[in-house]
Amino acid sequence: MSAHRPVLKVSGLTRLFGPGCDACLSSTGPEQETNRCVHCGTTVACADVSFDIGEGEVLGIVGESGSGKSTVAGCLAFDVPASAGEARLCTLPGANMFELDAAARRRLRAMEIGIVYQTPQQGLRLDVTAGGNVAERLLSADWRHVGQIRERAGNLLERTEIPRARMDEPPRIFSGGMRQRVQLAKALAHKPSLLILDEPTTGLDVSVQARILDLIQEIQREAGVATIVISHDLGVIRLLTERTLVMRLGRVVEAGLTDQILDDPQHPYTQLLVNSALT
Amino acid sequence: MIEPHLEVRALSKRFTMHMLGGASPVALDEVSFSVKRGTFLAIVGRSGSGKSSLLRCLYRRYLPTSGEIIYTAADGPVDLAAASDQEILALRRVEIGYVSQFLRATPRVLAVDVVAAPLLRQGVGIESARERAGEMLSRLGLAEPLHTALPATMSGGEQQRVNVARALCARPRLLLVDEPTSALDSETRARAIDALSELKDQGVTVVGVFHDQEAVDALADEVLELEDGAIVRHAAHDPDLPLISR
Repeated sequence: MSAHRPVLKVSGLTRLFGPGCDACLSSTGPEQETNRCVHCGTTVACADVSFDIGEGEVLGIVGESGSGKSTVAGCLAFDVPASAGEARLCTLPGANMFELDAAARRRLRAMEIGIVYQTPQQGLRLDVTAGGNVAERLLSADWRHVGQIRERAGNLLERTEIPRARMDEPPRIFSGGMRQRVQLAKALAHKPSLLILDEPTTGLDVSVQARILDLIQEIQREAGVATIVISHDLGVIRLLTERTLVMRLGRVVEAGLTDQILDDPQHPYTQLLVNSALT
Repeated sequence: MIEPHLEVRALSKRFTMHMLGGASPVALDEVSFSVKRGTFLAIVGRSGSGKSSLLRCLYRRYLPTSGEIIYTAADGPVDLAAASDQEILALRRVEIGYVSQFLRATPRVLAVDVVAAPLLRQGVGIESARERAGEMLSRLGLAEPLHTALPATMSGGEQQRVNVARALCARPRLLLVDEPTSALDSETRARAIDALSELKDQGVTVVGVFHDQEAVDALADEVLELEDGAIVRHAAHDPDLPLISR
């Protein structure tokens, strides 16, 4: 078999909120039924999370609120620092992303990592024009020619179905679905190596959700970018991903092929999750 | 002597149902058999005998509990029971096809694009993929206006033709089919049998679950009968014998 070349390889990713102590990891997790250390009060948001993603691959991370899935995304986008672990991107050979200095992190984030957040205000400046939001990302990736930036921003917004005529309007006056599409255009602006979609359709009407999911699939087919999809919705995971991690109380409890996870779940929590879904 | 394309050794599948107090029903109990390249093997047996579980284990939709599934891929043998997820995905993309009992297609995607999707993943261009998809749909008797309709709005039989077309179009080396003809009327069943038969002539190995005597008579070289998760018969197909022996 041909070797699987990962675009991103994450090992032992851990994030603690609190002082931390020697007993934090052993006193938390699904078997302890808590992610809060009884000894020092630290919250173990995620611990020992390991996975890799190949080119063009879509990996799902599924789990209930508080399972740590968004913390994983946040660490990879440098929104929150990792407490321990490694993340290696193929475009930065030999380097652990989490050990880069602030300038190198900003650069990596600008050049290589695109993210769509659940809440648009996290990913966009709502009072800056849609075009300006996309341009901001291009500027941080060293684009300098105003004409080219405007052209690229317009093309991306059109690709994500925001009419070019509205690119000079601020996302504050856009609907929820349109705001997510502006985020997607922004995330894709500089052709990232890694795209992170953190609950990209949660809270949207089903018809709007469907349109965004179709768009994500189309873009995924065209661009073939390694993508992490974080969702608590098993339908979204089934639709978009081929492999899935299941998280609970900060730990990965099961990892496998998405159809196997959904049709033959092994872990008690995954069985509960699959059997609780409405469809 | 032709070496086996697929060799299943002591394959067991047990489900542990944590929500039911850890009940652990056995679906397959140490099943062993082999299939030579280009053979059409029909799996038969009563409902609940383990037929679909076996097929799903071969596709790794179910995780085998123990045993080996040695598949001879284009670049060497691989144990499907133990291969990495990435290896399985790579094989599914180019070598191993699967037709489920019911179509589970993305809503809002046109029939022709559902069928073309595996070709696109293989790197075929969009125009050529759609053309091949259209040809296969016509071949299975789906009227042309329906090629650009949504499968969700179709009848069960029409959906199943989309399902079969998708798997056949991708030209797998091993095709796993789970009752592909059960939802079809007699005319379209004949068309599907014809298409499967052509695949067999091209040397594709097919392992399929069937309840339908007509399809088994037309296609099967060998029959493997399951009862309570164990093999009770694996022999050359004899049209004079009933599909279920006991």
